[in-house]
Amino acid sequence: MTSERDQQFHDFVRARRAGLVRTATLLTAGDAHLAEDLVQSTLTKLYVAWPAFQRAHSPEGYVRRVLVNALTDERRRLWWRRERPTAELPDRPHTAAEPARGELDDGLRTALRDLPPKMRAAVVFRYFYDLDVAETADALGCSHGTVKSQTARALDRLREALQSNALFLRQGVTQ
Amino acid sequence: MTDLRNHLEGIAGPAVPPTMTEIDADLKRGRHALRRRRAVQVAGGSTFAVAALVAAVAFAGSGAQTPGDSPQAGAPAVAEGVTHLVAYTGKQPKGFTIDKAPDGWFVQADDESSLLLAPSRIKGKPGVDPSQDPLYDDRSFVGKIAVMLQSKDEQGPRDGKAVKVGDKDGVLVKSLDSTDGRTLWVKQPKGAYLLIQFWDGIGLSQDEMVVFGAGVHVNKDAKQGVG
Repeated sequence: MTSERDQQFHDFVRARRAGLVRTATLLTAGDAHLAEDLVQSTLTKLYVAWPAFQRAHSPEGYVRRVLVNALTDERRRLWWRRERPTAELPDRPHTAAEPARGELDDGLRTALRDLPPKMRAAVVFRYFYDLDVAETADALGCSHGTVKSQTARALDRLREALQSNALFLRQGVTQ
Repeated sequence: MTDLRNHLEGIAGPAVPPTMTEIDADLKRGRHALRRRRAVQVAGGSTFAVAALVAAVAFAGSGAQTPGDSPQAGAPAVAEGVTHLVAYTGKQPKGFTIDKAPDGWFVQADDESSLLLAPSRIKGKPGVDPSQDPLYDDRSFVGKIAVMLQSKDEQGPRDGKAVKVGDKDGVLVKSLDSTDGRTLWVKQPKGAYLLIQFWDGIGLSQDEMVVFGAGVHVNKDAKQGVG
């Protein structure tokens, strides 16, 4: 038997999952496995809180907030491990999200990965999704001033990390 | 910022529509989480009711209680949730040795990186698919006690309750996604912390967690894990 909640959730997942995976991939700087975990966690939380999600003033903002919270939770959860550790990491194949996209994308991915998660999220929301400062602040659960300072520092750090790439500097973050 | 956006577009990858299997799995996870949440809420209420009943019976029967008056309805539920430590008499693990273990538990798995203790009731049941029940999976920590050294890529303990673990300093940290589960961090002379993870619902009090931790000894061959 399918409830109304199930049907609505099903439609939501079908329409929005692909976009959530892309956002999560950016928030994790290209970590496909972690991105999938974030999306699963986000969707589970949305299902549980479905009535609240539907009542939300801004459903889009609600989803972004849950996704960012899932990112924060996931990082905290690393110590609460569910599986046995090993002394040596096994060899891992390249994931689908880590193909050789060229030096530029690799450099940007590395630079993004070096940013703190919320700073990275600020860059993604401001410069990929064109959210304004207020919307980004809502997603990150911080003040407008923090968003401004975080994005400025993020761009500085990206610029610094990519200093050797003249093309990127000429066309990208410095302008 | 156009160029930055283009490169982020490349990292985000193409929008791949979800398969029906993925959608169904998401729905299943959501339903399970909702059921679990409701069950916890119901259990919370029941626990309160049982506690109130036990308290009422104890109060009413104080001074005049006979063996036949014991609160039968409340006793089993309380007893099932409590685990006591006893002296460990089994074969000692490799990377770590232990003085005590919960009564009725055994060493399910051990190597230089970790030691895993699980309840003995899962022994002697061939044919159970470990992937269907993490208790039977000797790679899973779910429902068990896990002992390990701090991972090489792990930071120190978060805020928690400072405790004395034998002659060492320790911190008892509650997991964000658990109710009574804890991880005990025990400072070691050589730097890396000893970590003992007590899963939710195994019935050890915090004092017993500390007592168990005081009986765990790190062998020289013990190795830090990664990841």
